[in-house]
Amino acid sequence: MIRINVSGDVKFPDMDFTKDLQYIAEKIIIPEIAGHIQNGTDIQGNKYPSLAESTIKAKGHPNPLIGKDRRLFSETMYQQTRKAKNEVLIRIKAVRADIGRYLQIEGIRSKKIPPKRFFNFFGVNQIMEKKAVNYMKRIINERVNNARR
Amino acid sequence: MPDGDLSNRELDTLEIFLTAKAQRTAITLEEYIQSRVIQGATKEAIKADLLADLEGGGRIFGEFRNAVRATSNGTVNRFRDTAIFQELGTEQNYRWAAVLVKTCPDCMDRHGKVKKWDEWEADGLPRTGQTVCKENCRCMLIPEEFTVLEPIMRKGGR
Repeated sequence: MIRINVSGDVKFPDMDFTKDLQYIAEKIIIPEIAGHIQNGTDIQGNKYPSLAESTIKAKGHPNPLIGKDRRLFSETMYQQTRKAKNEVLIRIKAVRADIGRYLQIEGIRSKKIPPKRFFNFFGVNQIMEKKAVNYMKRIINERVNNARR
Repeated sequence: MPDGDLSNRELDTLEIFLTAKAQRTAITLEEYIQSRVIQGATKEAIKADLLADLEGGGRIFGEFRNAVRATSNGTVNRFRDTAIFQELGTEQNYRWAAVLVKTCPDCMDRHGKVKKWDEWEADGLPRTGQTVCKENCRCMLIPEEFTVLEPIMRKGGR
């Protein structure tokens, strides 16, 4: 039997992806979330649970993520870079975050529609992930091609 | 900071953290590629290495892939955890705090236990799929100095 022990202290570089993550947040994730909100679909593209008739009547439309004032949730979404490298934060401003928490995390329960309903409008879906990876593939190609000997 | 503040922060807002490994010594992709070129690697080889690493979530792009991974609701919170622990630091002891009524058996076992960050990471952090409740986990790791927890009392002697 041949036995090979491989050992070593291979140093892999720690990469700074801050700018790329910023791009992904701004150009991929936020528009995608906003698009789903606009279309009245959740983050996976599925229909939201139905609203009570009285709610639809009061709001004037059946989209649970758009208020009576027609203000989009996405209008209050923004991203910021934190001091640490490789960190970008996408958040919903406080004015809408409370409602968002109930919609997505706590869930909504009503007497007319007893099962707790969740409105998952916020997150990263597979399409966003794929777009982010494709973006990074393009960046690798560009940067390798531009490297000087 | 009182313990309540930390758990409130968990549920306070919805946030997505795109967080790859934060290092002061981090280099840009251009710098990495340039250094490989100077060392004599061909552009084709560099490109192949990087693309394979990106596809496989390897040592270079692993953190990046984790940052932009498709998430469920629970994982959105997990990104927040990362940021919280980056602020609080990983040197101190953390106490596992189960915060829901329907606590899973794994979390019940962990409730109140104090360990170092590295030990919790090895056992599995909340929402990382290492407990029965998987990504639905609502438990928190709270710095030991902020917490004195009572055991969870259950009807039926459990």
